[in-house]
Parts: sequence; C-alpha cells; structure tokens
Amino acid sequence: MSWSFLLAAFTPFNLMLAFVGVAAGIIIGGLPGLSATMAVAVLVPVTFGMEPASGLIMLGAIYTGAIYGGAYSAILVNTPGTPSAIATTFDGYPMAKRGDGDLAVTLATLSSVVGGLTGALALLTLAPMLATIALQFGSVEYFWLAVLGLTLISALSEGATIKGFIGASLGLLLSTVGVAVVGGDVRYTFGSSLLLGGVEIISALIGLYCIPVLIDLVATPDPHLRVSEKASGFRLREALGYALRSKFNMIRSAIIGTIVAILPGAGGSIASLVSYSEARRSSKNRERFGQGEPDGILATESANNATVGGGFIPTLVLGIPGTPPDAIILGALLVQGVRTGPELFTENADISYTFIYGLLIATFLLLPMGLVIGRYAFKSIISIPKAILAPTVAFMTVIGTYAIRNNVWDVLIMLVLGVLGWFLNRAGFKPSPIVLGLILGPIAEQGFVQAVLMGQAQGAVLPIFFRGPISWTIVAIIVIATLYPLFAMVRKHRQTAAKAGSDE
Amino acid sequence: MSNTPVNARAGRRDVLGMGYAAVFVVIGGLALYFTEGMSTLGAVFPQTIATALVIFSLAYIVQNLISPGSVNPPSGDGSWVRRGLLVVVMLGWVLSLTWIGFIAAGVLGFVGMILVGNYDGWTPRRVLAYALVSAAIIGGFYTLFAVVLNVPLPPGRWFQGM
Repeated sequence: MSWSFLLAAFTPFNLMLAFVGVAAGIIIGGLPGLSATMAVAVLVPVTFGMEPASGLIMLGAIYTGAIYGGAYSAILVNTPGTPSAIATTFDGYPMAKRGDGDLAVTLATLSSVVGGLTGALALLTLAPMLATIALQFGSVEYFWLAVLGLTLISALSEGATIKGFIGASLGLLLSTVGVAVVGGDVRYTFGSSLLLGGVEIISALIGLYCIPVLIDLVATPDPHLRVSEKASGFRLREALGYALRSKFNMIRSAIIGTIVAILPGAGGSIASLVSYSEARRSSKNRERFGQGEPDGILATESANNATVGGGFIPTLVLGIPGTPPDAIILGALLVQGVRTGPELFTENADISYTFIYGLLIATFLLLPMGLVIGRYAFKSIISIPKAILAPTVAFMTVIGTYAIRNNVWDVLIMLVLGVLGWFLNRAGFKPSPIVLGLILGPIAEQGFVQAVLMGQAQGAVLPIFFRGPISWTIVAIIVIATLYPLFAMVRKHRQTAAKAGSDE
Repeated sequence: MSNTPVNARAGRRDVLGMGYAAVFVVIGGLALYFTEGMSTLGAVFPQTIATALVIFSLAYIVQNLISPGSVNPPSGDGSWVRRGLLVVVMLGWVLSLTWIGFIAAGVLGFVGMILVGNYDGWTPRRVLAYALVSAAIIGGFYTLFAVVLNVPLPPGRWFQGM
C-alpha cells in the first residue's frame, strides 16, 4: 500500500511540481522581504486547479526551497532572506567576509537537506501515531489546543507578551465576522452582504505579511540586495568533511527543529535560534561562535528546514498550523475541500502519504538544485530592479487574493488589512498572533460553544473543560508556555545582577 | 522582512503602543456593545474575546504607566510620500478592477507601481525594457490564471456594454 503512494509521488507531473516548487521557493526565499510565508501565500492559488496531493507537494516544495533560500542572503550579505535564517547570519556572514561564503552556502545546503529529511521522516512516522491520539480529542480538547496555539505564539514573543495576546485577541475577533460557526448568527457585518462570508484567511495572510513589505520596499532607493564577490565554487568535499564531523550537532538541531515546529505557532526562527544556542552551549569551540563557526550554520539551517516536515504534523493531523506557512497551506486545503484531521491519514491516505513522499523527494532535490542555484543564479536574482520587483509582488498579491474566491472584495480586505498591519507592526504588534487568532478562532469557538452546551446539559459548565487527562495535559502545557517568558525574565535579571556583583 | 531597530531605549514608555491599546479598548467595547443583538449561543465567544481584548489592552497601558519597559522606536527611514503613493496606487488598482477590468487595471497599477518604486533616471532603453518586462509579467500571469487555471478575472463593467 505504502509503495503505491511512493509511486504516486514519483509521477512525472509530481516530480515536475517538486522541481518547480523548490526552484521558485529558493528564488523567493533568497530575496529579503519575501519570506517562506509570502512565497507560499503568493503561489498558493496556482495549486487550486490541481489534485490535493499534487498541490500539497508543490506547496511543500516551495516551503522547503524558501526556507533554504533564506540562507543565501543571510550568508552572503548579512541579510536573512527569511526570518528563519536570522541565526544563519551570525556565523554565515563572518565566513563570507573571510572568503568562505561558498563553503558556507554548501554547508547550509547539506544541513538543510539533513534537517528537511529528518522533519519529513518524523511526519511519515509520527503523524499516524498522533492521528490515533487525535481521535481521542473532543470539542473541549480542540478548544484547549486552539488556546495552546495562541498562548505559545504570544508567550514566545518574549518582551512583548501582552502585545502578542492583544494581537491574538484581535485575530480572534476578526474571525467572528460573518455567519457564526455554531448557531448561524450574523455578526459584525453592519448590514453589508459583502461581510457575510467573513474575513477570508488567505487574503488576510497575504495582506498582513506582504503589503507591509511592499510599503517599505519602495521607501528607499537602496538596492534590495547587494552582491558579494566571495562566492567562487561548491567546496563540496570540504563541506562534507565538516558535516560528518558535526553530524551529532546537525541531527540534534534537526530534532529540535521538528519538535519546535510540532508546537503550533512556533516557527523556523525560534527553532533555529534554540538550536543555535544549544550548539553553542555544547560546543568545545564556544568562543568561535559568532565569528564564522561552521557549526553555527549547520545547526540553524538543519533546524529551520526540519520545521517544514515537523510543522505539517499538527497541520495535517490536528488542523492547527505548526508554522505561518502551514497556516496558508491549511487554508489552501480547506479551499480544495480537504478536511484535515485523523481521517486524512485513514480515509484520505492517498493524499497524505503521496504528499509526504513528495516532500521527501523535494528535500532530496534541494541538494543539487540548491548547489547549482546558489552558484550560478544568485547574482541574477538580486539584480532585479526595485521598480520591477515592487509591481511584480503587488501584481501577485492582487491576482492571488482575487483567485481565492473570485472576489474583488477580498482583495480590498487584503489591502486594508495589509496597511493596518504595517501601522500595527510599527507599534510592535506583529502579524503572526493576529493571523493565528484568525485561523484558530473558528476551532476555538466551535469547541468552546459545544463544551458550554454540553456543560449546561450536565448542569456543570466549568468541570467539562477539565474532563480528562488530555485536557489536563494541554492545560499544563498552556500554563508552562504562558509562564515561561516570566521565568526567562527572572533568570535574565538574576544573571545580570550576578554579573554586576562579580564585576564589582 | 522588516528590520527591527536595535536601539531599544530602556525605561521609556511605549506611547505609540499605549495609543493603539487605547484604540483596542474602544474596539473591544464596541464589539461587546454589538453582541446585544446576537443570540446567547452566538454572543458567548465574541463577548469573551472582546473582554479579553479590553483586559489585555488595559493591562498594557497600566504596565507602561507603572513600569516602563524597553521600547523599539519605529524607524522613520525612507520616503513617506512613496509609501503613501504606493497605498494610493494599490487602492486605485483594486477599486478599478470591477470597472475597467483586470487587464486595464493591472497595466495601470503596474505602471503606477513602477513610477513609485523607480529611483533611476528614465532613458529610452529603460522605458523599453520595463515596458517589455511589464507586458511579459502581466501577460504571463493573465495566461496562467485566466487560461490555464480558468479563473474568471473581472472583464470590467465599462467595457461589457461596448
């Protein structure tokens, strides 16, 4: 049975989609400002006419390529192409400055493949197990899961936790616009039939992530990317030597990336930062980190590519996006009428397993394509004039948003939300909590209202929310995730005080 | 990707953030007010969320008043005129889609965006190059969506009666 899915993934059409997806992802991810989320968001309408499995393969390939592509500009010009490549700049750019940019790119390629394969294999092996556990989930458990997703993204925005919660509340409130998921009430439409359908998730995503980038893109004449003259070859053998010596670091980072991605809301940037700090903590050459240590690149790139497969686990099994690009892919699946959840691995096994094998193929394709594109195409990509880049991105946002429901109103909502998102971003309200609120809102509401109804029928509303071990476990994780920033803050204060004491 | 300013100023009130929080208190209050016309079932979730929005927003204001934290002042780099023009061009583009159709609105929007985003001098060669690239991009996407994917792109009301 499993072989049939593997063969289905190997059809010429799916191979072509994986190839095109990885290439497009690398190109978009390599341009600063065009994140993996944006790559997936802009290209998602292209998949609407395809079979769900093929569409998923292409989206997974775009995502994989974009996460990897972010390393190019991080290494060569100290500008992370995607947020998940932030930690790659720490050692990548110092390597490029000293003339090892080509080696750094090859190291990033190798570790991205290792990370991507680890994440995809975890998806292949852990997802069915999680699917079995997920069958035990009722409305209450789904409500708590939605809350968990919200608390994690807010709690992980250390230093701006309350702003994260405010953003999540705004997103949840936006999700209530239109016809209610339970009961059918018409809410916050102010008499307009245009708002009956609510705020379309992908329109909101494209607006909140892409429009602020466009607004800032045209504001300065600075080129969007500078060209480094350092790159001069693959240096594959040398890179393989480093990778083999640091195999434990790479695998540990890949596992960290997978686990972080399974937690809904935590993305590649968190995964790469956690794995970088762990690689530094456990290294014998700790002092070299930040000055061009290859282990730093191996750790961050392995971790951020592992989030691709890892993030698909909660997305496909529980319908809760593990990372922002997963949120868009989840939306695309809903548009295609595919319902995520445990049944995706039983009733629709052909879709899920064909996709997972397709993701593995795309990850393997990353090695030759990454090396070749990194060597020959990078300079041409960054030479696109800003005057052409800005309208091209704008054109893709307009046509991409319109194509979701063939509705001009969605495009207007996309633009308005994008402009609002730009203002909110300037005030420190990041788009991710808003987006998570928007996506998790209907899940949270359905679970919440159904639980309240059950509680009322049993004469006790509150106990129904704490009815079993799964609920208790999720609530415990929520408490830990909420209190973690406080704990980290206290620890930081203590360390600062101790350091000040020792200096005196 | 937005570049976060690194010159965080410790011990300074986030006045901008507090202003937004005040607006969110009002939005939360209005959202609570409008739940009055809903059924109990339909109102319970928006009421909870609107209350949470008000509480978190007030908490942020109070936190800043009592104990100001570190603030990342927003960067004012770049041209505000071009930023504003970009929004105006995109708004015009979107609003004209229904009236003049996808292709005409796309061409006008694309040209407008080129003018907003261009910092180089105009030479005949550049004009020709940009015109060819624009035509290729618009034509390529139009073919992909309208022909390959069968997306019914708006034809334009003004041209339908002609």
